[in-house]
Amino acid sequence: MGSTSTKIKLRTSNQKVFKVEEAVEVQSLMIKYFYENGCPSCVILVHSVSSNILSKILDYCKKHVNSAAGKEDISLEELYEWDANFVKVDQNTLFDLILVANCLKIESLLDLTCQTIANMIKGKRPEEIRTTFNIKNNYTPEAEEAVRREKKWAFNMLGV
Amino acid sequence: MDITRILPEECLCLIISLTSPVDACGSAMVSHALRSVADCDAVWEKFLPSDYKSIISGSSSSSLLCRGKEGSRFSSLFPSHSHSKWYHAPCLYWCFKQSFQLKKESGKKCYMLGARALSIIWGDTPSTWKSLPESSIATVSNLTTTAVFTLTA
Repeated sequence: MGSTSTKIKLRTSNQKVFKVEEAVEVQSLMIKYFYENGCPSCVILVHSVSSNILSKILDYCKKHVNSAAGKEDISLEELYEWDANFVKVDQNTLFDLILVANCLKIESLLDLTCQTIANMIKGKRPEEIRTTFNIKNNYTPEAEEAVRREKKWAFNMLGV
Repeated sequence: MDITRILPEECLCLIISLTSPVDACGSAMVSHALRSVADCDAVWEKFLPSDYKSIISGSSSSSLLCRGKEGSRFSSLFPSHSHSKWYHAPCLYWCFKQSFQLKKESGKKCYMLGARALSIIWGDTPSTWKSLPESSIATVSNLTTTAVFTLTA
């Protein structure tokens, strides 16, 4: 798996095609799977991905590949800090990163981005979660009350 | 835009499993879509200790992994809110010597040791023990004859 064998491409839903960089190949379980199964020149369909998202993903993969290979002198703490700054983005960017990380099976990036969203949920009341993620409450008052009764212990802890 | 319309269920599942049992219940109240994710087995299984399978296999109770009110069959391992005394909550018993349950807010393991599970000086003497019918543990030590009680883990 090297730069000369980079024949896997990503095609977005608006038909743009991107070449996959070597660092992404190393981090992506999906691309690894394609290579291992004798398919070195496929086109993977990904959710609408902009060049901005793709370049962020490339940054992430390069950082982690170089760090793991010892090509970059960076401590684990510095890498955590770099990750923490990496996910300081708006919600839509975060969602796009999750979609691509999930599609390409870049596990550490998927965990990092999903943990960021999980942290936005932690300790919040249902009403606050709806506001944060723009979710419409589609429960009837009776159904809402039934859920509230069923999970009363949790709501007591959340102060609802 | 609504997160439940953007992200696929597998990603929402991962997100909720990275919160806590309390937050999963809070999320279930947000909308129908988020409830179907927050109640699923994949989420609640992540809240269980990694060695839960071996703990269950050593249990005297066989019906713990039944689908409870809270949707996931794994959530039945967490104490029910409707019982104020923790030993009435779903828990696993080993030979009535000790019980196990999960701390509901964090999923951490809690053990209750019966006196028979402890090494007590003169513990082999029958008069040290008496039966308490109201106790969930068969026999309870009557420690009137033991002067010093030291517990180490």
